[in-house]
Amino acid sequence: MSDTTSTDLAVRTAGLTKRYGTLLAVNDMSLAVPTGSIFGLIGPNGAGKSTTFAMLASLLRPSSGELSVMGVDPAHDRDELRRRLGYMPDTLGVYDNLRVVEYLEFFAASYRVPRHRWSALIADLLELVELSVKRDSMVNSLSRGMKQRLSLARALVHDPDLLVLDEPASGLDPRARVELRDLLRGLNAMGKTIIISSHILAELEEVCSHVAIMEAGRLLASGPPREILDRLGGSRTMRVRFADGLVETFTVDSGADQAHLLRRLVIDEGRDVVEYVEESGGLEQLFLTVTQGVVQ
Amino acid sequence: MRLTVNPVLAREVKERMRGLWTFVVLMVFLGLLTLTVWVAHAATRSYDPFSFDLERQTRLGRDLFEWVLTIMIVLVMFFVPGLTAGAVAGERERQTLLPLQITLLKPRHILWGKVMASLAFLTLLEVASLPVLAVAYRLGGVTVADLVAGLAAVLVVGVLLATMIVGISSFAKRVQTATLLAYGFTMVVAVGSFVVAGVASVVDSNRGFDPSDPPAALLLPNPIVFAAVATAGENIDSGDGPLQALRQLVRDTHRANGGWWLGDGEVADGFDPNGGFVFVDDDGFLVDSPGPTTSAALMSFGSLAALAVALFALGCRRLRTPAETER
Repeated sequence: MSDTTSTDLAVRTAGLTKRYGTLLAVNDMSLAVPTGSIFGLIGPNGAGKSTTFAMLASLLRPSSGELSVMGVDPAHDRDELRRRLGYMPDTLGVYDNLRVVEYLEFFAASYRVPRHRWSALIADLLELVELSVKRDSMVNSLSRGMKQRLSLARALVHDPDLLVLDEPASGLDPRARVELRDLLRGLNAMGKTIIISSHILAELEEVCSHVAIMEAGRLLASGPPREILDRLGGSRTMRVRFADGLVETFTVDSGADQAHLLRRLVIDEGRDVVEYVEESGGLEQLFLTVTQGVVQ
Repeated sequence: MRLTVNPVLAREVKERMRGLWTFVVLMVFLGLLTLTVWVAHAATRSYDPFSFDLERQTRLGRDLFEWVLTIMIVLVMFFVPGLTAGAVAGERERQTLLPLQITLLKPRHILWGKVMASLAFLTLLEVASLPVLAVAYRLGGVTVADLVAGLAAVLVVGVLLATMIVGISSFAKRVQTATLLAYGFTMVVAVGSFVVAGVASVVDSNRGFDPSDPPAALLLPNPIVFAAVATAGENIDSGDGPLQALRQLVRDTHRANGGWWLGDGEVADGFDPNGGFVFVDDDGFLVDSPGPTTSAALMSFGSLAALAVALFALGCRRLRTPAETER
């Protein structure tokens, strides 16, 4: 864990454990989520991601360990936490007999947002999630992707500092996933810290500044993807395009080797390099390197 | 201080009024009440168009009122479990419970909103049934106070039952399970006190002669008994309405036992020259001949309210977060 102060960290856990009888759903997890980051929590089914999120959101009580979310202990100062945290679970439950605007008004009331602010707030939220045209539609008439966006709007209704999103891209078509990615970048640019879990590693790779990898309840690695890869000694693929149009790929073992390769091509071999980029799939490669395929 | 409407109440009322089920229930409710009035009136009217018996007519009005009240209570006890069983179980099934629990609403706000939504619906049913009750009022034998007491009794029964079932719903994972539990519980509440009192009476009579009888208070934790004693009115001894039989049972049991709890079995303390027996309670106070219906109503309400509060509190505890296990 990096040496950061508590104000630099949106979430800090130390030895966080959740036990169900003999099953350790989360086992001795020590995590640090920097404020202002988009933090991806990666892991197979049953890794403990949703359980971790439920503890962060003060829905589940940890069996042991320390947990601090924006400087607040979820078990003792639940209301303060909920004012500052927006949670989107991995389920899409909505109230079918409500209109979109009524759905958001209900949650605005539930979060004690002053009534005189509702109109402008909901208009802004619907514009943000691109559901303005569906303002007066019944919620049960929305597509899955629209319901996901509405669920995100619900999590934003009280303007939280931290967003915890459990599988927000699940079941979305490619266009909807791209739109969600852009939305998350926009929210992060507003200053919100985002913790997101997903199975779609390529999606996380596009948006996440930091990742944590879980398997069988244990945290295996945490930090910026590049740093984790360097720490683990994982190889990466570099794509090089030369001035004559030729494109070649090279495999390097570390960040240092990346620099050596470039020096070798440009100085030693005198080749005219116009593009030198690392190919996508780094997060997938990282995941496969770190995990063992254990499911509990 | 500005009053705010419970968001759950506002949402539930909105959703309920948009559903077809609400109007079906309203139609069935009014239809059955109207049928009750028609049948009761047809069964008791005089076939001589030239005779007018005021006493008979007022008794008819009173009986009609009691029949309508009884049917209202039975219908409330039939519809309320179905309408409130899914209060929390439905949220779980729809997967809307987690987003609700993560807000600033406390469990008691969530459950209270659902109870109040039931109260709102019951009020709608009662207001809609006023024209039916007006028939009995028009015939006579029923005062405005009787009408208010009757409607209040039905409302109290409905709200207490809804409170109990909302608490029960907090423990069910599925609406189907919650509905079964709700109707099972309602059956127990509706007949349980009679069964317990009956068993106690059988056991007591098999023990041979002893001065004490089973406590009359055993009959009181029952919503139908509550409605009967709460709507006793002034003409307690008159009429053949269905609630009158219950009042008679409560009164006779109370007298036979010499009180609500374990008494000494004295039946009467003296003879009133003006007619009838004179009764004195355990504290030596003269008991009115109609029987202590006020204390019966209070005790009945108290026992039902205690049960409702207990189940409500258990339901709140069930929804409390952070929880030990996923709920």
